[in-house]
Amino acid sequence: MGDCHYLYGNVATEKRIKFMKQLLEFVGIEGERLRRKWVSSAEAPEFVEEITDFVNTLKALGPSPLKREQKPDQPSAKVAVA
Amino acid sequence: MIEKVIERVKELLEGGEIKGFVGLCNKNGHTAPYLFTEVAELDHLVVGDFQNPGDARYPLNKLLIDLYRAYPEEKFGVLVRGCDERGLNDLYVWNQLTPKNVVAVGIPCPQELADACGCPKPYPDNSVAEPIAEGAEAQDLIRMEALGVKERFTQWMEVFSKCIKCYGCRDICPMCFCKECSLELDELIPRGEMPPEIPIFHLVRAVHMAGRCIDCGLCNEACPVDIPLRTLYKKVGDIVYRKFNYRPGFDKGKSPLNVLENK
Amino acid sequence: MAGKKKKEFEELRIGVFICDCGSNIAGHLDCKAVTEYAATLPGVVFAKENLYTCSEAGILEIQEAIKKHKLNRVVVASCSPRTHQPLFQNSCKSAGLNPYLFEMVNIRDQCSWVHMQDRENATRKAMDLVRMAVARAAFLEPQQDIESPLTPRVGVIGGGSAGLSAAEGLSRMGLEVVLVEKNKELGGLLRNLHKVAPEGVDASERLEGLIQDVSSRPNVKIFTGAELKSLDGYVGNYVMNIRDGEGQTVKESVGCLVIAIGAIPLVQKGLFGHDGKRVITQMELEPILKKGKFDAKRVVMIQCAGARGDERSYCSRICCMIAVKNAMFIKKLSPDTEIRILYRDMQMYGTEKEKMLWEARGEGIRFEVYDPAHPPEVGDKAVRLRQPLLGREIEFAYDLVVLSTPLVAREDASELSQLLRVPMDQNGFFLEAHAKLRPLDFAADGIFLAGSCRYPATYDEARSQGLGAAARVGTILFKDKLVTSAIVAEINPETCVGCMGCLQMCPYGAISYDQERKICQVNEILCKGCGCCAATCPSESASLRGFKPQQLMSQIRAVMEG
Repeated sequence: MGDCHYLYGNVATEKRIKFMKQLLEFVGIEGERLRRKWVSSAEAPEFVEEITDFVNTLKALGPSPLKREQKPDQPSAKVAVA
Repeated sequence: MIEKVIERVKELLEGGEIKGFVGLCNKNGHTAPYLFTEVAELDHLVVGDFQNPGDARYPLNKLLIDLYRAYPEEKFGVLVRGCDERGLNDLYVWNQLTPKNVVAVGIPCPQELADACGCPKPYPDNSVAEPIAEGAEAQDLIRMEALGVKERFTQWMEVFSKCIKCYGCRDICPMCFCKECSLELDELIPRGEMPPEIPIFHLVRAVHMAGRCIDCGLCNEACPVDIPLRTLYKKVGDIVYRKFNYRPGFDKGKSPLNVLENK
Repeated sequence: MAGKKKKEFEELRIGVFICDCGSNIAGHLDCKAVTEYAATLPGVVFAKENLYTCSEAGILEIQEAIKKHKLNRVVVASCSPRTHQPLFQNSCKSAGLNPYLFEMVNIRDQCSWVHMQDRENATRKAMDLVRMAVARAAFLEPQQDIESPLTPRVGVIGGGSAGLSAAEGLSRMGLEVVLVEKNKELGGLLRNLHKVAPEGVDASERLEGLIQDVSSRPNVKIFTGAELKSLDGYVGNYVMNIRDGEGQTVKESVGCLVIAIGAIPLVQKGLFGHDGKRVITQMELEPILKKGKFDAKRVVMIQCAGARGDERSYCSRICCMIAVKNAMFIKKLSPDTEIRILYRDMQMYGTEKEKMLWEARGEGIRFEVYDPAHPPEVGDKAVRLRQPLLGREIEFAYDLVVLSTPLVAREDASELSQLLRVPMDQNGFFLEAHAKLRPLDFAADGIFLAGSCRYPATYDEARSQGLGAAARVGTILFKDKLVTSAIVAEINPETCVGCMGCLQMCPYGAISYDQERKICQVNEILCKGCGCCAATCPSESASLRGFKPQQLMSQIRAVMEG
């Protein structure tokens, strides 16, 4: 904390994440789906480790309860993926 | 109770302390918010408990904000319950009203109403009468928390999907004082989608209530499709209290979510 | 949305340039496929692969395409925006496109470098990033850089070696200087010193020359016995409120400030038996040496006294050099005096100081290592030492014990830190913006630092830092006007209800409340564009230019489409 490029900006983030985790949990979305970790640009291995761990956590939790079938009229149809 | 309120308002109007009094007026069988400026009108002043306690409640503070914006030099009285007084305190914090422009005339709520609301403090500090009820636990919140995460999801999504995006919850909220609302921002909440994207729509509003909701429950009463909004916002208040030890309307100063400590 | 300008009639014409960076990018992902993909994206009218987009040929290609294809947005997918965004933005500008309509993607660091072993996925990720950038580019708005005037005067706080050197440098550059010194006299710690290492010049000679020079300059205004009480304004336009020697408040307008308030040598009664007579500190030794008379025949110096322990964990860096310097002068004054320096490890950084150490050994000064777990004990007549290598205890009889104590931060430093809104480290020294890239800058614009208030410094270091800070000031004040990025916050006066929810969220104090209009407003020069206000505002009245909801949401929606 306090090492933020924007001085104390991460203090605000920390509070919001704390709040959001609990709110999500309350409406039935697992709090583990939201994660916050401070990683500096000099900490590549920590970043990789964190993301790998997060991916594993998400895989164990299974698909998000909010995941739904794409509606045919959604704009994604416009984009032809090469 | 009403006699005491009328007596107090009469005193304030006659003494010239206030320019007018924002209360409820019963005329021709209808009850509506009203700005009383003459003592003679006070015969029509009611507190709103007809068949049941609290069956006619209005966000009188919201009208007070409009009055303050139009007449920033004048002082007005307002009828408050415990929750309304918390609202006043919080509106002072958010710079939408100032204590020097407001005289609160309070009434305590009966136990029946306090229990129905799960109200933590069913009486104002500035009151024409002594408290007649004790703070009550939020039963609905306790019930919801006892459920498993999957069940909570099912229940919330079921009620959220009934939303007709009427904005009733926002329009009645005494703490919604913004001129422009995020919930009407096309980029966040696309227009013409029904129901509005769930649970995002409701979570956006819940986040905006963090550190602001004073738990009056008017949103719950206003919702035409019976979404238990009060339960949702009670949880919001509960998180802010437990995580940051702050209760809007009780504590002085800004919510910790609006203060960036220099640590 | 009443009152919102929408440029719905402008046809979107986005140009996308994909850089191979030789084989740096193209060697690890399929740039041709990414380019072909980019051409299919909505709004893109031109897509081109370049061998080096940043080369003269590449830049020319962008500029020609802007003209030929009437591009109104440019996206470059290449390397780091940190190094190359200004170049590309300027190229757009000279081709007549507003530089804020440029968007950049880093497919080198984020794709080719990190996914070197996985060509297929690196290519897919590059496509994702390009799609996001194109989506965002569509909603970019033209902006004008913010320009504000500059006051070509500088405030220097502290009149020691660093502050005087800064004042001298600034004055020589032709800038007006306001020098504020708390003591009655200029000079700081140098006033007490005997000789300056490693050349061995008299400290007083150095100091008098410097004071003479600075105080005789017509463009230097000196306040002694004075203090900075508060600071208003922002870079280019600060106003210092100074309490002068007579206790009067004086206002001085300056464009920049140099902070050089120095530090204090630790004197702690009882530390290794410190009594100020037979057990003294190096700083107390200096005036004795200055008098030129030295009687003690047996001297023991103890390094790291009061430093690198639990209470003060840092190394004061310069005390080893001071000890060696003073030991050598003692030898000069009194060649048969026996000197032992008890140390943990000698920090004689740099070739000159390393040479000093060798010379000191040659002159017969003895160095004895000690283990911090068993520090030397100072008795009435002798210092007892446990030699870590031999494991035995030995005693050195002494006439004088000299403690090498650290420089500690001034107590009033924390007051100043709050007043200037600049950070300090855990030891109370000021914290520079970046230890390597911006060692003399504070993170706050237009405020610089030099000397021992930053970290213990020798005279030479304090001087070069002072001159360095003066040069840093020059980079700002020698311009006609201050030009800053338009990417800052704005608050819509039409929709702001003055709830002040954003006010205390700003880490830079850039938001103020207008009593008259009952709304909050942003000082564009103080704003650093962090977006805390925009994230907090309940009504979207506060927003960050270039990062408005639509600009962010379009990117997020674009990545989900993949």
